[in-house]
Amino acid sequence: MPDTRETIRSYILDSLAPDLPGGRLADDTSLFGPRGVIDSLAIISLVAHLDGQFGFQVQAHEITEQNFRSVDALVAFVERKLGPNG
Amino acid sequence: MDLAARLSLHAGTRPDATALIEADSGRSWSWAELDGRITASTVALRRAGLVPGARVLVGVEHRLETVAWLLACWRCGGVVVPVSPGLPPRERAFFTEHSGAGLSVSAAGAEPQATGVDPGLPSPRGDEGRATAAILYTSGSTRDPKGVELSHGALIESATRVGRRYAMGPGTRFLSVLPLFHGHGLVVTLLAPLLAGGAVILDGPFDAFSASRFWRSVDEHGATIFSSVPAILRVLVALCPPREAVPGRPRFGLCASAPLSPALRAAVLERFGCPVGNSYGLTETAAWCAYGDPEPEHHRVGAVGRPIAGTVRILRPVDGVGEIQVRSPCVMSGYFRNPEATAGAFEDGWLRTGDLGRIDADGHLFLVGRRRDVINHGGFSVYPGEVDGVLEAHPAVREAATVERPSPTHGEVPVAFVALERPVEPSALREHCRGQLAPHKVPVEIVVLDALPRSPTRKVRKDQLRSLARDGVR
Repeated sequence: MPDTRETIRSYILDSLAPDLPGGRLADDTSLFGPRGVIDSLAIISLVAHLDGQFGFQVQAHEITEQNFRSVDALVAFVERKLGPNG
Repeated sequence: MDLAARLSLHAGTRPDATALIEADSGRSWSWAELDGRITASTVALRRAGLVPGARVLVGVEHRLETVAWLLACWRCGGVVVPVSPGLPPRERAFFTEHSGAGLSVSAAGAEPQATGVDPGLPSPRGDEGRATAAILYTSGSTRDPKGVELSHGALIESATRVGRRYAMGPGTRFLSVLPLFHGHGLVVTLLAPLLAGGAVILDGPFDAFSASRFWRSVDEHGATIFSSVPAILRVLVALCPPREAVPGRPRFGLCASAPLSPALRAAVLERFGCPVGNSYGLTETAAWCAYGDPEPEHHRVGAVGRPIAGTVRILRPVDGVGEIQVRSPCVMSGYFRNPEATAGAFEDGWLRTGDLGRIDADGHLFLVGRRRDVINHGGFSVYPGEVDGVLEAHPAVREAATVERPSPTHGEVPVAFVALERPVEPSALREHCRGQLAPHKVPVEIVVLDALPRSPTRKVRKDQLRSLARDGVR
């Protein structure tokens, strides 16, 4: 199982925000919204990546700002999905 | 008769029928309530000094109060300049200055605010139908301002044609999810159903986080029709579970502002049981000039709808393909304060779209080429010259050129190439862009080159940049 945080970070940096230096993407950096580093419609790619990497299916009602607002939030979301109640 | 007067007719004939529903709050207004709010807003605008022909900046949101402000401006004879409430200050200042809007209103504000801009003279007033109703900006560019001036007659005619084509009436409930500061959102998703006496469900603007709400809104509020752009349909197909088709909810969807692929249309039909019609138009035609066919019996793969006979011509066709030109009462009066651009936009009274297309024997319009140099980022236009100008204003940048890169999610995304005066991180340049451009205009990638490739005549070789944007820099 790949490291969750690193998997998410490297996908965002490599594919969604390629010119953002690694140091700039703090774990609490806003990913979406007016000051975010990713356009909200690119979330399709991110969801497909999470599905493929972690072997679950993100449901439409789970795509909320709370779950996707930052790397920290995404890690928590993935861990909940992978947990016994996910 | 102007727009406000036309819409007020419904308050007289069906005062208790629902006119507007705000999806997230559940608030709704009947026609009588809407009319009362328009009257109150009209008083506030007149008290603030609004005179016929004067421009008003309207921060448009999917709120009941926004609609009241729009209609109140029109009742006063004012000219609406609809803008996104989240506009960066630089663009907002430009729209205010360029339009000469002395007042601004917003859904949250109870009173009009003075902008500090000298409004100058009111727009020349024609008769009611020809008087300007709105100025819609197609670009925030300070290099090439394009304020599309649309008359009451153009907006009424365009909205009426949309309503007639899709059989809108008092039973229509239109789910409005598109930004209302664009022609598509304003005319198709707001004015057309209202003029037909239907109700509008205000639930937008759509983004990925509201995707899960889309079908819930359809069901809760009984939406019979919606309109979209391909990027929205892609998100719905990717993120929403299949839905059992409910007869009449919606009857069908519409899509425009970018080409809808046959595969995506088929995916929406299969997943949600919802046929979609792909339409075509420009801000300059007050939304649509060719009306998409959701009905299977009319649909043609790859077509962008059918124009009304005599309103669209294909100029100087070669093998049937030529420039699409439009002449109808829906066409703009011109570009506000830009007579040069206005003169260049027409040929013998026909609007030049700059798009290439053909019309088949059954009257279906097919797009085969695109307007040059406009990037279609998920349905939003990005003018490369504007992005280049912002980048070149950075002291480290010698020159910049922006091109499109195909994107599976957005259709196209902007990618900028820069040659530098002195070293700077691309991330710093993106940050610079973010401060001055709307989010959809900020390049997704900024690539540093030693020099931009140029032809022998010194023109930037955008064909080479497009290859680099697509394939990456080796």
